[in-house]
Amino acid sequence: MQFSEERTEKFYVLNAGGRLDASTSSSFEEKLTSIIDSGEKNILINFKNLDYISSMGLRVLLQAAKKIKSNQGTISICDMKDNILEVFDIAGFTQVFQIYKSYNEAVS
Amino acid sequence: MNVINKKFERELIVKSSTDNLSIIREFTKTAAVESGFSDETVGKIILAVDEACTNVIKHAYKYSPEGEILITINFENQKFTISITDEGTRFNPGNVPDPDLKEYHKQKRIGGLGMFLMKKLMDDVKYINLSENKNQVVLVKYIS
Repeated sequence: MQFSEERTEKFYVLNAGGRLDASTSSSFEEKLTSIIDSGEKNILINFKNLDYISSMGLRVLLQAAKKIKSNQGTISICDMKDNILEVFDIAGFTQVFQIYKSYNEAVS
Repeated sequence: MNVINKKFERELIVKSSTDNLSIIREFTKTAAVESGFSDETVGKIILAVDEACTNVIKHAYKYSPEGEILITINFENQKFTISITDEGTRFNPGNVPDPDLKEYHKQKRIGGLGMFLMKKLMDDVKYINLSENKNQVVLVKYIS
């Protein structure tokens, strides 16, 4: 996976690209956990360059949502490709996270 | 070529390393595309096979990369069957209830999601104990 981070007025943004499966979920988890542990409360994950997600990636997101909620924070997600959004939909994750169609919609 | 009568069988043997999941997905994709599924359905089949193999790596082989996973794909009479065989710890799907999604998210439960997705993505999912130390998951998708 490829990661980059940036700060906007509203969010701390994690850009995560590539494939999120059992072989990469631990690096995604480390990245996300370190951001939460640093005290960020409003995290936006930009999945614009994410091509694939399996339940291993969904688990990391769910664990992170649980962790940040105890800090009174939230995780939002933007710019998911249709195939990723469909997996979210099937797993019922569209109700767990604030989802934005695009990055611009999220940060505006 | 007469697409209706198209049939084939192929197999892939890989070690139980998560690094091999991309090889497994590529193998599945090629066969599913060849069978004539839509891009959307091909994506669903790939994810279901990934989930099944991830479960094998996690639960049957407990992340040891030395185990073997045999994946057989058979396509005949519009029926696409993927059989995934391992020789790891026996898996009892009866111990894993379907997550009630509302409850699941309320309690922020983490497990069982892979199996739930497989059932949602495929037309049929079966677990078979082939012998004392051989387990098989069979996933089926029909061309509709």
